[in-house]
Amino acid sequence: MSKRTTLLVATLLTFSLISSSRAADLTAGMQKGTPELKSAGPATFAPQGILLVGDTAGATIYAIATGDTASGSPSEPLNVEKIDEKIAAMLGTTSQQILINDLAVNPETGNTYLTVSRGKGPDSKPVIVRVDASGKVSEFALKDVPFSKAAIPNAPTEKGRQEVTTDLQFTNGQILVAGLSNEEFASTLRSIPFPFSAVEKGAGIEIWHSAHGKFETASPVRTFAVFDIGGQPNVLAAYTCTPLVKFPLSDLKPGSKVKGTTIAELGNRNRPLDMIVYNKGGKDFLLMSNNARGVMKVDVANIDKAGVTEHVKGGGTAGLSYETIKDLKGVTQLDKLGKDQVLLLVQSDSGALNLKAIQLP
Amino acid sequence: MSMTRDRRWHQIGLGLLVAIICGCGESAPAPPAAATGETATPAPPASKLRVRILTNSDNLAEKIDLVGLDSSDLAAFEKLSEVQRESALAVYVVAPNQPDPPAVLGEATRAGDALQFTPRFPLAPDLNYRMVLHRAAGAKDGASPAPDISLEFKTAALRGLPKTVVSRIFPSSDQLPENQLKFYIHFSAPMSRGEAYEHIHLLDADNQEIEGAFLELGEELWDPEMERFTLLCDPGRIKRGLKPREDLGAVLEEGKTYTLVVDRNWADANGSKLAEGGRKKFQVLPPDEAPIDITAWKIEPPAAGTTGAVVVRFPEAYDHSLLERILSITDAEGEKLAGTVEVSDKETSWQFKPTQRWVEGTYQLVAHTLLEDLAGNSIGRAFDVDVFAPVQNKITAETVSIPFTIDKPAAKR
Repeated sequence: MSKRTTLLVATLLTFSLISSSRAADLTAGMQKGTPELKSAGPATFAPQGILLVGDTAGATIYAIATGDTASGSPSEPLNVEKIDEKIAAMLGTTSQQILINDLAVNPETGNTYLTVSRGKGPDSKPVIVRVDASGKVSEFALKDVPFSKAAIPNAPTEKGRQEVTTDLQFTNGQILVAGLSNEEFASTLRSIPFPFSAVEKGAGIEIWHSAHGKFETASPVRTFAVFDIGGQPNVLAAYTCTPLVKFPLSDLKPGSKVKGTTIAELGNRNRPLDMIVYNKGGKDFLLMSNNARGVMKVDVANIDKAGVTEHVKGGGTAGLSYETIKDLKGVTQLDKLGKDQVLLLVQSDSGALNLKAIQLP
Repeated sequence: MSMTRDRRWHQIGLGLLVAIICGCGESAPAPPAAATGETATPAPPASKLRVRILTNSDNLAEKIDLVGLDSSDLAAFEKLSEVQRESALAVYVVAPNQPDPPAVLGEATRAGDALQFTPRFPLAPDLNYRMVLHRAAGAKDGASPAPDISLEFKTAALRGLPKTVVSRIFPSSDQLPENQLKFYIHFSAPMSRGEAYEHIHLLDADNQEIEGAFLELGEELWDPEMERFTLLCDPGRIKRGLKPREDLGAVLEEGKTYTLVVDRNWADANGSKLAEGGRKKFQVLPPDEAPIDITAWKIEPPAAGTTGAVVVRFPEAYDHSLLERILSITDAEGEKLAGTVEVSDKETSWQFKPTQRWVEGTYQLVAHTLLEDLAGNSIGRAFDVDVFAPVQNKITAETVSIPFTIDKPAAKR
């Protein structure tokens, strides 16, 4: 073996050791026990089967090592009709008395986790439900599981005040958390390092956007995704007041004021609910559920050049081009399922909720 | 009151339940199979079997017993593993549209003369359930599976619940700016989440509903007790320069009259509809696009030696909830004084009454810059900023302070 080869092997070994030690770090520091969630809201997966759950009532982010293992490759796409009724029956009640708050697919196994409230009042109980690849619905018991938690930095503690966690994502060793206050209309995007550190607590970041180059305003982020633009991770954020905005992840420094670039305006009555980014046929797309327009597929090929400075009249959108997938109506939540599919939580005309996998459009 | 003392056995008479003895159990998951060969154990007479419900302090079923079983059934159950027990004794929700429901989560044990099911969550009120003992799980080796025992029962409805009403709607004023941002709807008891926007309506002067007036958030904005709902007007139709406003116009128009209606069909936390909804009629003023100006505040200090209130009067109404917590009084050392806050005069006045008597000296009225007026303008910053307008004095600190002095009471003549 030449010196060069030895060096290469040694380097590769070192890298693999570093990466395996880094991989081990995500569950290191977790304790086995019963995470006492007060509520289960937005959810997403970090690597190694770690489910991240936003607990609005407890003003806490939980990281739960699910120990999830793959349940086989199904022959047919996942389709669970009336999943709300199935979950309600399991919880000893009716579908009118539960809420499905979010869904998260473990990208390493394809199993789906739903965050659920049993009851709709202040005493409602959080439940995590697991749906395997065959569609089997079961409870993921929050008992004797390795977990860690972090209080949301600077969360409201005053009587009456509460901040709703509207979305969270894991990226590059940090959890980004979007929140909305029930009092002040302020932007409260936060970055929390993960694995959680007792010292670093993260901080709020003020997110602004411009409106046709004439006005600028701070606004809460409703939902967001992280996407590489020119090799740099960027946050694509949909605001409560409709613009779709991009800003570099590296701009998110505690206490900073970030002004995003508007890359699309979604037009009248659009309320983005959830979004994912994916690649198909070598091209990148953003898929966004939207209460007014069904599901929107946005072509992000020219995102590096996009910037809306002029108003486009007529009720349409400005900026990046998009298409509306009209067949997909009533989609409230979505997540990527494997390489080629997207899993949707769809409200049917009867009001029942169906969990349905389709090919990525 | 302790839970134990408050528990009571609630027996359901045979007249209220349907006892079915069958060997089919099609609607239930199959328990561990036993070998066949011997004669099946006959089911106990239906007259002996009944369901007994133990309720908690909220009168919800927290334990369900199957009583009247033969000792052989009890003994057979005890021989099962924990996993087998959960398959053997199960409770199902009875719903006509769900013929094959999953079993309710819970634990099955033997409790004295009964087999007991403890659901993970107390059962819902006024709902039909079915308790099933899959006796095949306890069949002896070589014996034919015994017929299942299946009994339906209904949980008690909650009675004597307080009637929930809409108690207040803020802002109090019946004149609001065109770019009004928020309403707070207060209820007399906790409410339920998930259907808020179906029950809130904005009507114009002709009682026609205005579509797309509010920002609808699936999570809904509640206080922790769920007695106060925060309603946001669609910010896309308030902020200048945004497409929804440019295409549809603002939600409210200056000079017109509107009514905010909360209908009675909104369910409270117990699932009961409201006893009374709410209405708020208001006229629309020109938009307010100016940041809050604290130099226009008037402070009326009380005299030293009293526990009278210091009164702060504002030139316009501010956000009710923020006013209740965002202003405070500090002494010369910067220590926050303890006392009570009252917001009055349609949110144009704030009073602070200390628990200790005032001492002569200098105090500070401290305001967090997050304070908002009715249009979402905060201290030193407008809701949306015209970047071509002359630069305003930007305030970047988290708080601002206004000093005032407490003097001796004026001497009596």
